[in-house]
Amino acid sequence: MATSSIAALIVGLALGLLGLALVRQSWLRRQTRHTGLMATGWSLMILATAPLVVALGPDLGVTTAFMAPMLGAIALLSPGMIQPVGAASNAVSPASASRTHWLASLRTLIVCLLAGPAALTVTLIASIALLRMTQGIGWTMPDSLLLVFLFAPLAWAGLAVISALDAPLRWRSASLAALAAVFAILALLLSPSIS
Amino acid sequence: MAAPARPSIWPDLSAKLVARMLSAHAGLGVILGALLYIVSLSGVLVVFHAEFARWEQPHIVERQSVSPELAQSAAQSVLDHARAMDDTPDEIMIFMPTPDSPRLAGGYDDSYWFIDDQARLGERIDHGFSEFLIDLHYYLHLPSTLGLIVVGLMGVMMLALVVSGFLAHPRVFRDAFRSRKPGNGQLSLADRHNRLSVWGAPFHVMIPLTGAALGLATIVALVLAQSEPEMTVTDMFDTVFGAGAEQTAPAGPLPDAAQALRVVAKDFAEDGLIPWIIQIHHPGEDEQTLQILTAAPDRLIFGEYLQFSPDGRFIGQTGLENGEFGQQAMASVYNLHFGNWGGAPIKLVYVALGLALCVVCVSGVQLWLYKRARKKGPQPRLERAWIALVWGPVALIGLCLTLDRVFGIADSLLAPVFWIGLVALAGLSQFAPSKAGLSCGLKLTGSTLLLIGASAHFLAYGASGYQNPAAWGVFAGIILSALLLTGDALRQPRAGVTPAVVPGD
Repeated sequence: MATSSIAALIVGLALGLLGLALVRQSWLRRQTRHTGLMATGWSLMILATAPLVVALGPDLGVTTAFMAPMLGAIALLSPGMIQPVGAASNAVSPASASRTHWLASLRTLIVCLLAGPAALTVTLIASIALLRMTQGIGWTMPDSLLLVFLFAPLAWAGLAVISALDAPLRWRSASLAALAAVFAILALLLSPSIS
Repeated sequence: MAAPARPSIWPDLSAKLVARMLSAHAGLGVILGALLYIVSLSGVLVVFHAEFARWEQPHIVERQSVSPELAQSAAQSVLDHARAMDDTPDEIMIFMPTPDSPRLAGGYDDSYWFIDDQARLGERIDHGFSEFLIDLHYYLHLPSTLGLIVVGLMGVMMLALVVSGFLAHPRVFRDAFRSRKPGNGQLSLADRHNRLSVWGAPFHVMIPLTGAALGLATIVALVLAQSEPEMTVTDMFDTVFGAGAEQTAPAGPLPDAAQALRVVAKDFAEDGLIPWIIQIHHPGEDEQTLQILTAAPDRLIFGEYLQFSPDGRFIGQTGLENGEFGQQAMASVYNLHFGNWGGAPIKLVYVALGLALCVVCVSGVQLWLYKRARKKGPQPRLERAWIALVWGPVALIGLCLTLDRVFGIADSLLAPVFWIGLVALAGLSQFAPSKAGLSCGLKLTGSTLLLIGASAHFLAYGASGYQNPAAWGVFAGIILSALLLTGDALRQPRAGVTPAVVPGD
């Protein structure tokens, strides 16, 4: 590694860790004025990306810019974390409102079906729409596939959260059905890209 | 008199939304907690899969490079062996020495051997334990496609937990450095869970996102291919990873891999590409082709495919190294997920962050157990089962190590031993006299089995047999893990009122 790269690496790591230190200071002063300190800290952490990219290249540089503050913060917090956790209170509150066991199990099963197969189906329909849309605006196939491959887990995760919300089941089911319909219409309106 | 509180700069979420998110977060976490923990724990170990493989056969001679002529002769030796066995392999592969695995090996189908300086096939590659760990993490030991999808689903659910977790804890960033005194039971456990979640968030998003993308790519591509006329799944992946070499040679001598390797050394070394796998399709038969997968140790991409004519002239490259953004990014997903991009320091960082993820998984379920105990009274069965599910895998991995190294049982039996053992432990845990005893017993059992397995392996090969630093590193790592487990078991509070499952308890 060239001397300039080593210097950039050191600058990048120093900026990231300085940023982290400022964010911690802002937290320690949270009862008083601390916005500027916090903004500066986060800005420095973002700014650290530039020298790290110079030192390590775009891919490794950005990755390292994320990792350095993470490790620094965990190291700061670790002294309190390696101690044994004490005993919890054994206070017992009255049982919550009763619901027959089988009804609760059925509800859990439906939620699992919503969060699993149903959310996956909506995700796949949305993925088709997304692929056709990006192909329609001239993206290359690898770029479109990258977007879809990253979109699919995120979309499924979001839909799984909606499915597991403590809201009426009919609303959750209707939301998924509506989303599926919207994406299906979108996919049908966008013609297949490859002929 | 206290000063008036300053208005917060943080946005407030409605209490109703927070309550709903908390419910979703707990629901998803509890249902999948054990599997998420096992995938995370095995992921921590798989970071070192190359080192485990080198440790399993530590006596194999290692080298930094081999000559093109030796590589060509190695390919011929593999083909000669196949013909002697009346096999007609679709493809033979020669694995060149790389920084991660500085060994020359080659083979076809499921048979691979190490190759010596005279290009003779030597000892068979036998990585039973590291393959057990890899299969556990990649597939949870399920059939490959189903396993990938299930593990992909785990990634999705982990992402869902991150999303719902942040929405359920609106103060989590505000309290990014809060750490209440240990001994405060549920509060300090919640601090541990929340602080590790905040500061590990980029890792906790990146790992499941890349893992789920890898796991779900097949099923997503299958559906996309159905929706696009005249396009198959293979066509789709070929746009990213290439279709292989197109120029073919008739039946006869193998393509000139030696010449191709000289071209790689001359024209691609400056780009940081080094030969990794020589792939010869239809070797010796009609339409044989030559492709070399190169590694790129200074990049996040796993490598670049270079195609050659049968006489070793360069034809083209796929573009993982310098092609479309999508190609480069997709080629980076694997290394980003497995920490295979910056040598030992990055692997150690991944282990630290991976262990933090394990703690988040375990402490999340334990917090749910605390809350359930407060609402409905003690839940001894659930708590014992959870202890078995947390420390059981550690003990069972130790057992598999011992069975593999000491008793040499068939590799195919390791997976049943692990899963049947886990179910049995969860059942037998109900008869444990105390939770603290159960936790302590499992830790000590795991520690003992790890020590036995590592020691037996060391005695089998001797110090002189440990011919590479990776073998010594893995050996030291196993011994250190066993000692840490023992220490953790011995300092555990005896009067365990709570489920003693979080490391440090």
